[in-house]
Amino acid sequence: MKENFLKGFFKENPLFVLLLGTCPALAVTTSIENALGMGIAFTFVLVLSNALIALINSFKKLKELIAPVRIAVYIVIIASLVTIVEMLMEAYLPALYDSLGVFVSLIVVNCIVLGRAEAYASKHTVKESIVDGVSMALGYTMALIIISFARELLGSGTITIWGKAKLDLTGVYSALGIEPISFFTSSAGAFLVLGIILGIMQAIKNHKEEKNKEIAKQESINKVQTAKQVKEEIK
Amino acid sequence: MEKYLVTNAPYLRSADNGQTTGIIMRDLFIGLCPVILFSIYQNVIRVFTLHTYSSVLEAIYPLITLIVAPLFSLLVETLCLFIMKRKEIHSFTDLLIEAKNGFGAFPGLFIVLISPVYLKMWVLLLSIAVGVVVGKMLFGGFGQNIFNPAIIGRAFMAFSFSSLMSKNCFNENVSSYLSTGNTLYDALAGATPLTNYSTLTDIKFSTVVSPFGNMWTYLFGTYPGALGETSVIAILIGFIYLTLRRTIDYKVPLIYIATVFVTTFFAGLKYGGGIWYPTFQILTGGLFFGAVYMATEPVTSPKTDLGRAMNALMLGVLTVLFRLIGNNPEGVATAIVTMNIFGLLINKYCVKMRVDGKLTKNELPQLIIYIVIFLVIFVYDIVMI
Repeated sequence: MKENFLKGFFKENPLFVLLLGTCPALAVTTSIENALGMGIAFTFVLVLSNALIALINSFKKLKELIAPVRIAVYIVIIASLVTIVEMLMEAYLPALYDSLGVFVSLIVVNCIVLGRAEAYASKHTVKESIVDGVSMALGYTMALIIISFARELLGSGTITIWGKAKLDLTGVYSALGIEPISFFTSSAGAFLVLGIILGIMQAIKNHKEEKNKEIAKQESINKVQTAKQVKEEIK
Repeated sequence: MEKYLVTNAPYLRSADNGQTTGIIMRDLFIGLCPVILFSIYQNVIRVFTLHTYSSVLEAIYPLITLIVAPLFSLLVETLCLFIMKRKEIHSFTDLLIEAKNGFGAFPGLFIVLISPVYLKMWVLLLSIAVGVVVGKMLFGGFGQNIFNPAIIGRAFMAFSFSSLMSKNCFNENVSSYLSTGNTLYDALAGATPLTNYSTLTDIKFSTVVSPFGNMWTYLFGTYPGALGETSVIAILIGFIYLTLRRTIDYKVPLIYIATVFVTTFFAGLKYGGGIWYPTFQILTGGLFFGAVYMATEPVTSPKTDLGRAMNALMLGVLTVLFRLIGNNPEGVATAIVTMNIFGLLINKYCVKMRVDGKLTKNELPQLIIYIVIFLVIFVYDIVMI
């Protein structure tokens, strides 16, 4: 259970490890507010779609019935959920809806939602699927926030958490005699940030693997030595 | 270190000419010397003789950037090597040998030569850092980059600081391209002939060429522009030296500039024809500098004669397209970066054709499709402009 919940953050992070859903990650991460809004919409859709699809698949007859057209069924479920999110957002958070634009409705075709439905929710129980959905969605939101933090800080010199909770650092920039680098607000900058983060993740992974190898080597050496000692003692 | 030092590409052509990479890069520096000397004359010595400077720092600022930029580039590269190859580097001498084999000063030198004269120092240094780290070191260092690091840095500068780039760091009201020796051009809308050209609606000899002098001004390079790319004469001296030393392929700049000349000649028919229009187009901006020093760069340009000719032809076509149809007044740097993407593709087919003499049945249609696409762009270029 705990492992199932934690896997979405580092081990199987949808954006940094599985590299799914990169399109909104590059497009909407211009401010932390956008990333958070996207994350909330995404969490709602992914958790509910995982739960519903697991529920459908828990009935054996229903599962056999929809097997040939299951992708279409999943898409219908996901699309209805996305429509709900879109309408709610348009009604209660119009500013956020405007800044996210078409990417809210594009959650329908986001690879992670369909991928989790096909790869996980259709084979596991409802409870496990919900935990998986929460973990994946939070991992994705975390990844979006990391990217948008770097982009917003470097690109426009502000940190917008939500609405008026905004930290304006342009004064710091001008005190240093420099200006924000507007390259990072363009999607080319998003690619660069994503690539650098992926590189850092890979470097950490390589470092860990090497450490594990060294530990394994030492252990095997120790084993051989103890075996020798045992043999000598027997003699 | 091992007895035999294994270095990165380019080795193929250096072996052809009996030269090592070190000698090629030394020749490249000697070939750049006329350009550097001219830019010092134009932007430092001439300013001193005209007494138009407000402070000594302003007068020697171009010289400072020319010294600081290569050193900073080398420093960034050494730092990168220290971080990325720390398992192979055991002592300080190892690090020095690695840094020496990387020729880290060149990206910085090229960036400063294609940048505005009075650019803010931090903008210049940041662009150099991005060019070296993203354009060169992340690909694995010298010999393994697919993009020209200097142009990556320049493109980063153009995308990020387009408003800062035109600001002079000493005098807010003057363009950064204007050296104080050129104060008589203050009244113009655009700073350089090409930016002036891009703002014009009525294109005539008297509005395009005359404000900056005559064709001889463009040839000698005493007009406002980037630090190193104004003087065609100085670049031609470098070109002749590099050709005699066989460091670069003389055909590439010739084809590139000839393509630009021919296509802009057709474009100029709209404005009454005449040889002045294509001559203006090839003499201004960074075309000569880009054609001689950047399109021929040994690492990123294609490896066979046919490939290089194709590359040069497409560079010319793209430059004209970017200049006349796109909203980019310059176009050379963007064209070179775009063709760097196709470098791998051109290499793949051309090397195969040189080795096998012909292509297999599967590859021929692919190649024909690419050639047709190139031809369509070429025809579009001539017809539409």
